[in-house]
Amino acid sequence: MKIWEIVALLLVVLALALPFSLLSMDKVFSSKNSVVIRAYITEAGGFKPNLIVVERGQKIRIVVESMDVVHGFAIPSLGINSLVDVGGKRVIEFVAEKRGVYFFGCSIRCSPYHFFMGGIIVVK
Amino acid sequence: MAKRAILILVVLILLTLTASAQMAENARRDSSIKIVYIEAFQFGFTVRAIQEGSNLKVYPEGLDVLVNKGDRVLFRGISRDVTHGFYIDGYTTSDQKIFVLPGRILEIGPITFDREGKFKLRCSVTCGPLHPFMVMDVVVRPNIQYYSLLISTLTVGGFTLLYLQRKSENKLLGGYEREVDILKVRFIGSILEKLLKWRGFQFSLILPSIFFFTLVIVSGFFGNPIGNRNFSIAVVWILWFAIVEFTILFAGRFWCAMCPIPAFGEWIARRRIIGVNNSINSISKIPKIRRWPKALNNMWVSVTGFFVLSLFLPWLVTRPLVTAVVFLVLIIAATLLYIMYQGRYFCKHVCPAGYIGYHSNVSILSVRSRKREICKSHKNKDCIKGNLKGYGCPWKLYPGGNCDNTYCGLCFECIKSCFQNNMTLKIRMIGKDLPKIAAKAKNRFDEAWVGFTRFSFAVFYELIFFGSYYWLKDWGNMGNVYGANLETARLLIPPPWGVINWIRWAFLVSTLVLVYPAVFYVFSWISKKVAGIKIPVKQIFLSFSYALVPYGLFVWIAFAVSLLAVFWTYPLTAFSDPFGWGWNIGARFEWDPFYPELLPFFQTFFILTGLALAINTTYGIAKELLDEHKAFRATAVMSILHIISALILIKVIAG
Repeated sequence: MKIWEIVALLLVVLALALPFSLLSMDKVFSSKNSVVIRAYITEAGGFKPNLIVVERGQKIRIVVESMDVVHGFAIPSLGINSLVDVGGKRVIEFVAEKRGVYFFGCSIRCSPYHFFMGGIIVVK
Repeated sequence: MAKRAILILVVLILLTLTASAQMAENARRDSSIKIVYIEAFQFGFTVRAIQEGSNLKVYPEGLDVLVNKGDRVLFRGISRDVTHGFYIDGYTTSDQKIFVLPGRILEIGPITFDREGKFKLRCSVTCGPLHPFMVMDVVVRPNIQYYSLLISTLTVGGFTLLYLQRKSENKLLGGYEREVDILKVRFIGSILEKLLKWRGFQFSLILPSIFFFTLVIVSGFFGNPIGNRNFSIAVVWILWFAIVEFTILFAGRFWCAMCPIPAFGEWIARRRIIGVNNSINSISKIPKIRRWPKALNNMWVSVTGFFVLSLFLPWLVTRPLVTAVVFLVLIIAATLLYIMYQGRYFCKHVCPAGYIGYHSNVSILSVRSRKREICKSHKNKDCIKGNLKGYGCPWKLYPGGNCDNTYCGLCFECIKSCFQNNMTLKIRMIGKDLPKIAAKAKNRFDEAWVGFTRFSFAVFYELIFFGSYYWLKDWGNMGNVYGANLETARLLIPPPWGVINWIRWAFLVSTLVLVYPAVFYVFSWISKKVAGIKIPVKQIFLSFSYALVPYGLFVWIAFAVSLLAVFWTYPLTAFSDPFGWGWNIGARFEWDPFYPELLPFFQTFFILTGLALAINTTYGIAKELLDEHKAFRATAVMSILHIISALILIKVIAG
């Protein structure tokens, strides 16, 4: 009888712990071999992350996901501009040929602070 | 040269002729096209202007689209703030998403409206926390669908009244008294009995729900701030909420058996999770144990909790953080109360979902004793005190003599502890015990108010969540357009005008729970006068209010049906992506409502079932109190109110 209590207790602890472990498994379930940028409205943090550092000549694969409302993802100096639907993903691939700082920003009005929504890609 | 010039001239003339013919054709077509300018915003749509030919009419805000059958309508959509979507039930498909981008004009159509009825224009692109409820009505006149539903309501009401006057021996399915003891049914009975007597049964129900509840709280704190992309909102307020309404009908408080909220307190108090701690069973003999205060021995706290949650409903059902905090508070309160008072007093008297108990009297399943005499003659009431096989009733009932589902949590402890094998599970007619409970109800204003609150809110929610009153949504939402998790909690601070509007909302919601009972009281008074009853109005009012047990439940089921039909993809996707981070563990579903254009018919089916049951129950209650003739007259008066309520609901759904 006693053994069942312990098993039950362990199961309960497991049921309580599993959601927390799921929380830390983002790397396992999200897109692999790529930089994932999650887009929130500026008030909620904007692009996360908003600073990406890459080596020159490296092939970059960026996956952009919109979290709250529809955003756009634009890198003006590379001529990249696309709409990112909520729940949808946009994969952007390019080779960083030139050294420098590349600005990226949201290209579709998403909140009153839309124009402050941006980030940079640094090519070393 | 001249020849050439003539040739060019002829070609030019021909071109002009065809072009002008084309233009004339265009003009003719355009004149029959209605151009409707629609503005989309967080969270609603509004018609700005309508153009017919060269005639442009500008409208004030808050107008629905009204068109006639056969109209060709071109929609020009603009957005005031963020990107929105455009979807009309039954007229556009969700295969190809339409984006109404801010700063651009989007043309949709022309759509030929060839079916009459009321259709919803919905936003199909997630645009914020209240996105699922961003709806506007499109009415195609003549609204034959609405009129036919109105007529069927009157027909069902009338026929139910006629059915009441049948001869009493003419009983449907063996009549109200028939019960089936399912633990004695061949094959299934013995297996079910073993299962119910297995001590791990309840634990095996609670364990998965503990996992999901923890996931709700974790994703509420750390997941996506937008409700429909977050497990906590999508699963709790769409899937759980809707399924519970159906469970009540089939299995009463079965949810309470698997609810994880009081489980921790119960286990701590028992110091066991599965087994029986027999020293606890005798604890009721120890005098030092705290007694549950008598003043709280009712549903007042529960109904107040439901009311307070309703005051913040647009926040509760769209902000993951709010849901997570509410659940955390409930778990802490339940655990503390269980440890203090040793019993499921939280579930009986405090839980805001106590309405489950109120409606459970409709349930076709219930725990009852096989023979009352055996329980009466049995001195050592094991079902109250408990023994080595099971605990005494944690809901503090006397299971042997129980004939009321309100406070029976279906934990099956009495089936386990009864060594006379006298406790069983019975299937009965819907609302069998209701007339007796209602006739006995003295001063049960609390239960009556659960009924009034639930019923009037069902109508109200149908109106605000699936109606085009965006300003009403905005009042309840305090004008806040942000979703929130723990990280963005500060965004929940509402703007000042939002708070002022919320006060209006609170006033409106409070009036609702007073106006409907007042109308109900007036009808009770009229039925007293019409039938010439000597019982005080108060008693008639309280007893007849139990007709709302089936009625309220079925109206909520109708609401749940619309939730499931329109949003079924959200909870299913949430299982594959609990935090709304774009994962794909299992399968993702794109938003695709399930036959939304037929929804009014599905919903009306449940509303009319509720109406018939309400009239039937009223008659049952009246027969307990009065003689048959007076009972029918009183029922006829009350059924006018019930039919009016149904008509109002049909108006909200289809009119």
